[in-house]
Amino acid sequence: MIDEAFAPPQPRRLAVVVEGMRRNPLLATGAALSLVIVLAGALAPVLAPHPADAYVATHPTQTLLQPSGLHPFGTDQLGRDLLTRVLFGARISPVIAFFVLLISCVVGIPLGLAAGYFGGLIDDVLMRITDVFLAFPALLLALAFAAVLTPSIGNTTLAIALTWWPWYTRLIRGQAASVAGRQYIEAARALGVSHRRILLRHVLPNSITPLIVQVSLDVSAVILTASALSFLGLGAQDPTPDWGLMVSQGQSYFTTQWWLVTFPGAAILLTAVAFNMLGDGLRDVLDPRRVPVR
Amino acid sequence: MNRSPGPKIEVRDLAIAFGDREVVHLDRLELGQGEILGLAGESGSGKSMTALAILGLAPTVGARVSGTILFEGRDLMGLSERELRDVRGRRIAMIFQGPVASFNPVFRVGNLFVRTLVLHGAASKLEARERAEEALRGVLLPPSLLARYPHQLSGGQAQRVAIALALALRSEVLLADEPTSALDVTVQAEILELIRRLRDVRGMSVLFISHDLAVVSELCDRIAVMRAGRTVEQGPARDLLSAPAEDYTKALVAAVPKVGLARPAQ
Repeated sequence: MIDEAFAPPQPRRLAVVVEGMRRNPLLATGAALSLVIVLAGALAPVLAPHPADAYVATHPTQTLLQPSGLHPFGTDQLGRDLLTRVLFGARISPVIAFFVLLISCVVGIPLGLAAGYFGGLIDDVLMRITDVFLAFPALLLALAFAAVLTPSIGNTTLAIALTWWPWYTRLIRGQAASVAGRQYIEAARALGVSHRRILLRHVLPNSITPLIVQVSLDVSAVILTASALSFLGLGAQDPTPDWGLMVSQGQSYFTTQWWLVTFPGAAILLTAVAFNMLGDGLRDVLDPRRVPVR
Repeated sequence: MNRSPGPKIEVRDLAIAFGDREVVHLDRLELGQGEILGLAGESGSGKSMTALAILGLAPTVGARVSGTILFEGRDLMGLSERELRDVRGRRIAMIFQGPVASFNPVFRVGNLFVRTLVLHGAASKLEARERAEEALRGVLLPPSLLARYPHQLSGGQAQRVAIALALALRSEVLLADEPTSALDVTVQAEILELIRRLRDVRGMSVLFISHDLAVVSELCDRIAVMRAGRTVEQGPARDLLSAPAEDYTKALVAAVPKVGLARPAQ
């Protein structure tokens, strides 16, 4: 089959990314930070000074201790080591964000492409469906979904994804509609290229750039939405070391025990910055108009 | 050169309409084997829609098409989408006004050739690349252009590449929709020369669409003048230009600026 034999030249694109890393410090930094987060999550049981504190253990005698050599990030209101919980948190919030964005892309991109490229009735129907979802405030809608489902991380992910995909459909639809009218699409049709192939090979690559940027910006937004749900008792539940949950629970201690909020908050910030840089850098490197002539 | 008696493309009673408004109504238009037919007329006269209709693409812009379009005696109107896709590009190629804009910006030129050639039956990627290089040499471009992205080509180069693609596909008919209108005069002359050579060497049939009668008269064997979707007049280029029968054709001929002559007082 032609598609398999002539898939985009992967090695060369990878080479472009590697080469781009060298030239583009933004991308390199973003990739390095993302790697740090992934490693923190993967190696949490090894790195964490008090692994038991991540979930069940509590230490009533050691509550709210300041950062020290034994507890570099201090301890929380139940005496749990905060560094441990922040490290284990890298297994929760970024994963929720990843799956929410993945589901949103998998649902949103094809629908947006179809709506923008074919137009007409397909466009009308799909856009009215997105209108229904977009008519409600996102958080409220996620709350409603989360309330119907039992509170768990999987269901939180699902509830947020349900409110997230219409934005991507909209974004891609607008791009695809503009690309569909370009001359190279007409030229591709005149060369006998099928609709499916035009959508995948011509419309998609030329529509995806704003979405990459949007997705990278949305990482932090998803984490914060998930934490809002946790705060209201509809997301991750207490012993789970979810960063958002830790921030919301630490709020009441913020004026006297600053570390409770600061360290998980910093982790969220780091994740957001890492993915923003990664997204921006990837956009620059993968855009052929910015690749130097060889 | 092998000129078979039957026309390569024969259009009969072609009607193209948007809603109730009929934009093209052609009683008869023939493109012979190895012939360059000029389709001239002002903008909006239906020239481009006719070309799109020949490829079966008019419906994609929302038009209704009826009539008969014979390609080597076979009616294209009756073909399925799948069969049409095989005709497009491989048998009948089309080039456009904005040469750079007709290339997808994310593909290198070589990638574009290879994809298109494989889509239309090249045996292997290697063979496709060889055919691409040969075709580029055929339009007097260095094969090194295959490594470029479309935005790194000049307008003239891009139009040559577009023609080279038709060449590599071994298309028998070239629909050229204002291929030189966006180019400056010297580059324009080179492209016209190239199209003429393709006809002479390869026996390609060319439907050359232009609003510019000067260009059409320089290149074409026969000319059909269109206005408001109908052919006003058609005939051999020399006759039509030296002795236009219709007022509209006369007006068009008179509108061509002539070098070295004062503008006739009117």
